[in-house]
Amino acid sequence: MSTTPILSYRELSVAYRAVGGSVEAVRAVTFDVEPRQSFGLVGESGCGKSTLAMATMGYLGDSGFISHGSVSLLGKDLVGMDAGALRAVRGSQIAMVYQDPMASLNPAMTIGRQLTEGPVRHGLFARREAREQAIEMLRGVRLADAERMLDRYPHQLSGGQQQRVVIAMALIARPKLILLDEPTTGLDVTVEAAVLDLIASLKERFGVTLLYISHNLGLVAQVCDRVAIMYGGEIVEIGSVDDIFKNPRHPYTRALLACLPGAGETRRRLPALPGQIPSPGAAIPGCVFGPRCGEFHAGLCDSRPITLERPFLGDHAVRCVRSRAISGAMPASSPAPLRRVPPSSPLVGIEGVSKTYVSAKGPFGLKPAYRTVNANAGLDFEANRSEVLAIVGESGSGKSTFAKILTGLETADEGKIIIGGNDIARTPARRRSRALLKTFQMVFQNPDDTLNPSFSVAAALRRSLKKAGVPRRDLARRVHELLAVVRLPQELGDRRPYRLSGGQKQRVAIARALAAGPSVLVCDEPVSALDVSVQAAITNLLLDVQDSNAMTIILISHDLGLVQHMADRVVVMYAGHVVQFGAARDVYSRPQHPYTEVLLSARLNPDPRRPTHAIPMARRESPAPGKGCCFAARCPRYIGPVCDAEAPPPRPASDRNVFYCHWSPADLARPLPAMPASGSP
Amino acid sequence: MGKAAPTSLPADSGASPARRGSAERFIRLAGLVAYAWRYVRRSGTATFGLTLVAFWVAAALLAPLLPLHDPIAIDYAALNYPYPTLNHWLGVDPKGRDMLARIVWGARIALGLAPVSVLCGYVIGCALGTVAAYFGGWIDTVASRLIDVILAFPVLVLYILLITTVGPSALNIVAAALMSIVPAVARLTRGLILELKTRDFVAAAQLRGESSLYIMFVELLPNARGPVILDACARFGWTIVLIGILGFLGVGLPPPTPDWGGMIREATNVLLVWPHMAIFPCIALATLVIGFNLVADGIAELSNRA
Amino acid sequence: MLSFIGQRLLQSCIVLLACSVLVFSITEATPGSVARKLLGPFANGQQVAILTEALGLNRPAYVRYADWLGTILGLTHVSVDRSAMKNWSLPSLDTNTYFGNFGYSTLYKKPVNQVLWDRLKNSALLAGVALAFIIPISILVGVICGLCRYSLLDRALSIVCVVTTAIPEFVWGILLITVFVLKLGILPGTAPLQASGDWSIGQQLALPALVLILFDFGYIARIVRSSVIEVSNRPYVRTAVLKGLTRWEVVSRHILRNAMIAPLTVILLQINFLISGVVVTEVIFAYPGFGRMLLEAALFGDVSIIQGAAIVAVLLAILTQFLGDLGYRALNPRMRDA
Repeated sequence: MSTTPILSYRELSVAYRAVGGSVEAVRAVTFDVEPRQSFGLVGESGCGKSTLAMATMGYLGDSGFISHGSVSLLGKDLVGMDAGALRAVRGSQIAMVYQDPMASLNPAMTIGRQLTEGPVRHGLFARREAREQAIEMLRGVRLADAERMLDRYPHQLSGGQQQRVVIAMALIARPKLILLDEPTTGLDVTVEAAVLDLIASLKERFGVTLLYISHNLGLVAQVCDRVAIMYGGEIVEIGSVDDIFKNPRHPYTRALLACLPGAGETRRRLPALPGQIPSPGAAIPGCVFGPRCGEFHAGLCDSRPITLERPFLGDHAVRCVRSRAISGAMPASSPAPLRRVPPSSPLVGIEGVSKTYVSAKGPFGLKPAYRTVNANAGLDFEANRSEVLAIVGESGSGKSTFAKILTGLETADEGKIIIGGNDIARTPARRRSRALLKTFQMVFQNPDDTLNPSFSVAAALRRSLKKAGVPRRDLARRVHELLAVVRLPQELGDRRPYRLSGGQKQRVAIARALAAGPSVLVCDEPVSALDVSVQAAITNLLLDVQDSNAMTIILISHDLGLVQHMADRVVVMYAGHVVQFGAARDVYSRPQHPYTEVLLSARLNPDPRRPTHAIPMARRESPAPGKGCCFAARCPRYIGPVCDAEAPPPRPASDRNVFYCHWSPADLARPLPAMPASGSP
Repeated sequence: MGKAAPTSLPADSGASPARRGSAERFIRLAGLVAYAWRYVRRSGTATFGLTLVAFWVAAALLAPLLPLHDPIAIDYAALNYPYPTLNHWLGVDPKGRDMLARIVWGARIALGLAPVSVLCGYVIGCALGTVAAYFGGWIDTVASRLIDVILAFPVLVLYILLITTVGPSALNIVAAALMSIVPAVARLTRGLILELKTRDFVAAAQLRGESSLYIMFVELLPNARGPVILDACARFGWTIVLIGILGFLGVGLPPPTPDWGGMIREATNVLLVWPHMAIFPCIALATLVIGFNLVADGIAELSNRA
Repeated sequence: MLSFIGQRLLQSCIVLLACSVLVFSITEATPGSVARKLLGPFANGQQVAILTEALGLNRPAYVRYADWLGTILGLTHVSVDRSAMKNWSLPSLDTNTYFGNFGYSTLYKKPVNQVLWDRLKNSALLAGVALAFIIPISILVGVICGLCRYSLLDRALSIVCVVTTAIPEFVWGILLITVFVLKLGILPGTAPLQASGDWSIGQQLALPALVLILFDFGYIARIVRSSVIEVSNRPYVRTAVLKGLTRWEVVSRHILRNAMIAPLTVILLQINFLISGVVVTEVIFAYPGFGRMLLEAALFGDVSIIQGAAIVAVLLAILTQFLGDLGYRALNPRMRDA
């Protein structure tokens, strides 16, 4: 190595004080980050990656402390540095970009002041130059209207704009190293692509080193040069991005990559990891991954501490005693597709369903100031028996509102939802018949919210069965059956939700929905709050129960990989409108509608050989919002006034694929230029 | 780290509809009490507070058994030297009644009326707050405005008006206490339920066809118990103060009753001569109220820190 | 902003109207007739009956309510049918027509207005003195506790706050009188606000104000403390620290301003309480304030005072709430766009 590493960890261990001793969250971490590198630190929740980041910044809170080892920045040890020296390093040499930009910005301070107070403190420029510097920096992060932005407050900005401000704040003091803690989690796919592109171009411009901390393998594969995989507080594998993604050697890395949906064949059983992530401080002898590892050899893996070794050429290190034996083909998806019952005749018809939210503000409703939010506008499609129909779209596209209308948690303003000859679009759940309630059941997004904390698992299932009309004497037997169907051990029945993991909670939620014997299961982002290794198991379970009950699943998701894996047909929504509707295979292979095209181009492939070329969206003023095409203002293939004035006609791309656009399918065959590497907004 | 300590009770209380024998129920109750004690023991503040409260509860329960003077018997001879003596450990009051006996019996009044008021206040307040928050709309608007108005009034004057109108009695004192407990509890519960009702398990309950009543009182309200129990603890203290104030202002229970507030009122006339007559009941009242507040503070600290 | 004020104004009017109905119906139930109280215990039944007739007290409640409201708003005035009363000399009933006419006090034998505003002024004086200490002390203690949370200093100060707040006003009053009046003899035990005696007004105010300070500061300090702790845990404070700002910069620019948002409402509610709700302290020290006036009126059954005072108290509550909302919007830019 010719250069000194910019950041260097040596046997770093971080612990938290807890009742009766301390818990080690990070153990013996050793690695270097070279100048101008993009380093990716990957792991699931609780693996210690955020603790490691905070230890680097010297910010471990009241209870955390570095129990062993060192972190040094450009040769200077950060551990044991006095407060003044640490302050001088923070902001000016290491800066940070945070996961939740809204929460990371002071709500009561203008953007301009927040942007410049750091560099002013570090003496980089005087207070009177601050404004110009801030404007320049905001232009640098491609924020339009930088001058006016300075006097705004964070809540007046969109999520993407806030994250750009946070990036500007990190860069303005020209640090050597930036830590990015889940920088795009929570942003929409298209915004994520734009933010990542911006970061990449700024890295070139300022020559800064990046340390990404993320759970997203796709992101790391696309933007990093070197990657470390963390599990249970340890680095289990470290190497170049090609080493990790093309030639993974640690069983955990291999399992993580194999269980990502959307990469290979659709509707196959994903090779899910058994078990759960160990809780911090769990005493596991030998290899931390041992209890979940398919290659586990008793006596070898659990007898002594396992160290990080370099058994291969180059700088590829693995913490596994059997790494030489593990090679070749990745754990494969099971060959048989999860399907015995093919989709058949239409079950639910949706005709022109629309819903507008009105927020009225006024004293006792006397002087209302109406503000309408169009959630759904004239949806038209149908769901077949025994199929998986996916609804994809970004936040605010109205897909969750549609799920609520379908289940009766909300009612539509207009339109029809026809099932069995009856229109249920305006029948709320409390006025639905028992039979109709049993027809539609729902699986929710957030596992922590989905179960009532006061009831044990068995009590919750019993209640659902009872309401579904199961006689009392059968309840106990049916609870056992349901737990078996969702593959939960029977003894979990006595537990309350706080003693369950996220994946277990989601299984209980699925069991609860199945208790009613629904013919339509509405799944609103069923796995998005779960860890990657748990997502695969839940995805398998959903496909299993769908197939064995010949059930229709309506899958609401923003996860394009999951949708590709599960769905038979896809509805693409934008701002409350259906823009494309067709067989999943057709939509993914030929994304006709410009929005579908943009959305799919922004996907982050967990494969460094297939780089993402996100198509940038336009930004123009719409002369008459509400009229014309819903996507006109952002469309990269904008034709002209016709897009603003007239609603686009349905265009059949094939007999199984319809989209709504003024362009014909032939016109849309021309490719669009991908997002330029840097420069224009 | 991260994992919040169980502020909820561990046992499966009330969730299971299965019938149980009374012996088993007693064991579960004992287990619950033991758990509560273990929990409180982790905070020195809460333990000390609970000791103070337990002392007065024991005094109130044992009052008839203890070898005390009659709390309303008058000993004129003692007024010659009303200070603490071997016969009257804490001296006598301005009418020559034994102070110790009156204070111990007074604990029965305070600890008898406060739980009744707080319990009734919670039943009504929780119901009101839950209904307002769950249904929202005009029901919520009307209820919230009503709560605002009542809380905006000088509440003490409302009690005095009420009691001067209907006359002082134990029942009316409870009614007066309810006037401040109900709106405060309703406001607290309303806030908690507003947050809880957006949770997905409520939607799941709606989708299996549960009635609004079931959702409100079986699905939602039990999950608000943490903050509600904490608030109840402090509110016990406030209610005892309120009963004391009513006694002090002369609209509490009528004179011979050994009511702490009333005792202080009678002693203020001779405060310049015999200050101990006011100070002893003051100490009694203050320790009991401080006890309740320390318990609440300690529990709040435990649940925040863990 | 203008629409916000307009909305609040409308809301306030409706709340006030609702309160006036509430107050009127409660005072309807107050025992004893106004005529009897005006005439005193030596009048005979016939005299009472005649005066009742003359004052129109036997009309239906809603008519009298409208009449009462009209009198307050200055639309009408108290009318006395003098013809039935022959040549009795009644105390000068306030028969003028003006806005804010709350009638005539049977207890103080004066127009309610004269008593009310005088007492309100006295209470405001006491509240002002108390607040001048309470606000700085409680914010200081709260911020210190919040910044060194869970330390020994924090625990000690927190317990002091819990204990001082838990001790009722009258217990504080008695303890302080015992110490400062009986043992030390350096302060007076009563505060009639008359400078004629041995004690100056300032000395008279000292003990009542001290009771209020001791009783009230802990409550606010604890709210400030928990708000400071909550804000300190926010990610934007971490952002500020990791920018390399000094501890003082982080506290003064990022923590304090945001931590004052929540306690502001509580502090303003205290103003309301300190002006209109300090009954006990005023009774102990014989202070001629608003609270004691209300108590005396309630015990005597002086309907006019109760009604007038209740309306003024509600007005005060609405005003402080409105001020609180304005302050909230000033501190929290998010509210300005809402």
